[in-house]
Amino acid sequence: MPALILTQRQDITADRVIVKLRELDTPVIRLDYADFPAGAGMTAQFNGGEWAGILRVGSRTTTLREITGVYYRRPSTPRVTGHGSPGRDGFVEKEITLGFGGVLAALPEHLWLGHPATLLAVQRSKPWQLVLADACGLTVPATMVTGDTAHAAHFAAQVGGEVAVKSFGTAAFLGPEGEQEAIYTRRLRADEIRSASLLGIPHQFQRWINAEHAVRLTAVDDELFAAEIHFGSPAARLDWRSDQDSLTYKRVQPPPAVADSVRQLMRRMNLRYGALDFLIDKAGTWWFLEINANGQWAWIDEVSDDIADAIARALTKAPSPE
Amino acid sequence: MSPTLQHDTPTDTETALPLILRGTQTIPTTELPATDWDEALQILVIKGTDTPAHTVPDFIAGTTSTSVTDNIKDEDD
Repeated sequence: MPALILTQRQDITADRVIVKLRELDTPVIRLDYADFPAGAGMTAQFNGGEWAGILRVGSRTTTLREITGVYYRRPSTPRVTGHGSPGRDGFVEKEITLGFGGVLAALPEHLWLGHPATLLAVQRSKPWQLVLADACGLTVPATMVTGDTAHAAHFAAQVGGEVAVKSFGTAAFLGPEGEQEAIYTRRLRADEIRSASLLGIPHQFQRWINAEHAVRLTAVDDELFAAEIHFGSPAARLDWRSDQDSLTYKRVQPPPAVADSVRQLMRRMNLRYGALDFLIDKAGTWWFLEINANGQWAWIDEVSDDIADAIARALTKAPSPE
Repeated sequence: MSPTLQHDTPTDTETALPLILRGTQTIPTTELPATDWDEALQILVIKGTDTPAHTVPDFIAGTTSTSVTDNIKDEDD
């Protein structure tokens, strides 16, 4: 009874889960959408209300029914050539994604960590995350989304004079000269906002939290693994992603109320895996910032081995469908 | 708060960028490290347990699709 891991060839995070699955004597099918059609194949038939069929990747074959869990990590898109034009190649690539990927997406939702449609929904709406997090009892900073400079400056003044401005999605791209650029969270005063322009583009502003440290809390089913992230530089205090060499980590147990809320949030979002970011202030309040339904976890040594173990177990024993 | 939305008009090159893009930082591109540890993990992956390719699932046995299974096996072998 194999576990299926969807990811690209170079993915040492997935490798760590595969090592754990081997320790559990669970066969692994590792599939990248780019494996189709040369290195992978599928035949599936819809009959009796479900898809049944076979999936072959390299020398490994499984029936779809046998799959005990699916870990959606970082699959790459199909790349084919030789159909006469780039447009035709692109069509075939999409057919692979929609056809074989579509059948896989039809596997029972409770098998997935996490289902692609759920990942997309969570990733695409940070504002929705805040609504659900608040409803589940987590503490959420005052937040404004606007493209209006005056409104943003007014909000900053209302919430203490300073705000964090952050992007909604991954902010890494190529700049005008082809250089790799990134946008990190910045701390701004109301007057700094007034002197700038939003130009109608949506910006996300949050009340500035004077954090003692951050926490990355990783949830796998009902198991929670939290690590304090201590800032080692002024840049890291603004956004710890900007100076990762300066960071130190310490394993921590989340307060029971936070743990309960996180488990509620996971259920509300239909997630079996999630990486949540918090800021912790002097009063000990855990401020929820966001949840990444496919967030990285392998870089924090204090918790990563236990997370790999939990993911492997989750892929072996899916919970009963509700 | 003003009830109306006031979109600013840029007056020069700099103000043509919205606030969020003014904080852009250039980051160095680094190569992925190829450590022995990574290679060891990859070897484990390659040696992973195989499910026999010749297993024909119940749903497909006795149908024309059986030949597809055979083809898959042949390609792989």
